[in-house]
Amino acid sequence: MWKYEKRLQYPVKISQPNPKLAQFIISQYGGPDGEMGASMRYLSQRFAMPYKMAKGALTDIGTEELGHLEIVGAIVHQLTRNLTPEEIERSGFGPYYIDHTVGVWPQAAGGIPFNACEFQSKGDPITDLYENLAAEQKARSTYDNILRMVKDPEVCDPIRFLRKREIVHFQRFGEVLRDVQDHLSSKNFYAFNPSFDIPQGPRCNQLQGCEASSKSEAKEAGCGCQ
Amino acid sequence: MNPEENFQTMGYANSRPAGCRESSRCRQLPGSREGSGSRQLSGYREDSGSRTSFRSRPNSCCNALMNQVYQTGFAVDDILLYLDTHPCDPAALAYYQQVQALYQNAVQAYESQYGPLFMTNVDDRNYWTWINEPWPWEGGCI
Repeated sequence: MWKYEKRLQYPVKISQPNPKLAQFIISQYGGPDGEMGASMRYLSQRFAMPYKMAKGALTDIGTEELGHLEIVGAIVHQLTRNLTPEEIERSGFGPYYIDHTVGVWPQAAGGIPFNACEFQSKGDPITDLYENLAAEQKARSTYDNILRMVKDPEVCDPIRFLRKREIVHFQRFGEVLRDVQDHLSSKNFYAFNPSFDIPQGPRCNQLQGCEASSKSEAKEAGCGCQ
Repeated sequence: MNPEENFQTMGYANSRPAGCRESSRCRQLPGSREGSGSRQLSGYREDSGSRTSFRSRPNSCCNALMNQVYQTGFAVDDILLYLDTHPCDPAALAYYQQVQALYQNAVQAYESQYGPLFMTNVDDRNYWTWINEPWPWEGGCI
């Protein structure tokens, strides 16, 4: 479950509002490669994962992404303080303002609302982990694009932090993928889906232990109980 | 990110930062400026060559305690993910114990002056201080 610690993971203190930037950065709130998608993706995928390393990593990275969502929301909020109607019109922020005033609402920079089509939870460990590796790169690219558009150091600072964290998450997911592959037959990773198919041969029962007579047999069976 | 690097860049002793007053009101450090400036904290920087000590940045006292929470808290967040994929790593396990203890101290030090960071640590019997401002997205210092 989740508890709340009353701070951001990284401080956000922006003294100069800038609604044009807010429009760009909102893509990391509710856009296709943003933090809401990331957190929902990982927190959803973990239910079908059969291995403890994957369950742990998905839970903890998904939780961190919720914290990042909060940081991006704080950035958008602070960039849209004390706006005049002229500033709103001039910056191109007008259409968003009409529907949301300066409320924070999950959408992409281009206007597409956040939706579950922007992520997948395929229920296959290998597939899901490749999805996640790609997602972290997409997020990093988006932060790269934002950094090209932003000159204010008070905005760049938390954005750079978030970008670095995407790279670290990418690294972690690569390690989880290797672990998943270690549980599967090196002759054929795709022989079965360990989240769904019941493998022939020795069974793995979490309560009663592994039926396999050897470690290699357990590995062949895709058993998680080594 | 290397956990050892993370820990070294923090450069913590076990004492409070110089200039931090024993008071519930936030005071500026002598010679410090209010407001803007680089927000880069040590341990977060990509080029960890020159590390900015939080003492030399233009921040006031309460920010110094909060900065300790940020930095130690981040170290815990980072080693958590590393341990999820390296559960047997002895150096990582030891590092976790270290930074977890530092973090708990930092939280306690901050909460004793400025109010609860966790809803389980509300000790004021007369008022629900949990809801006190500023909230984290508002960018203020208490």
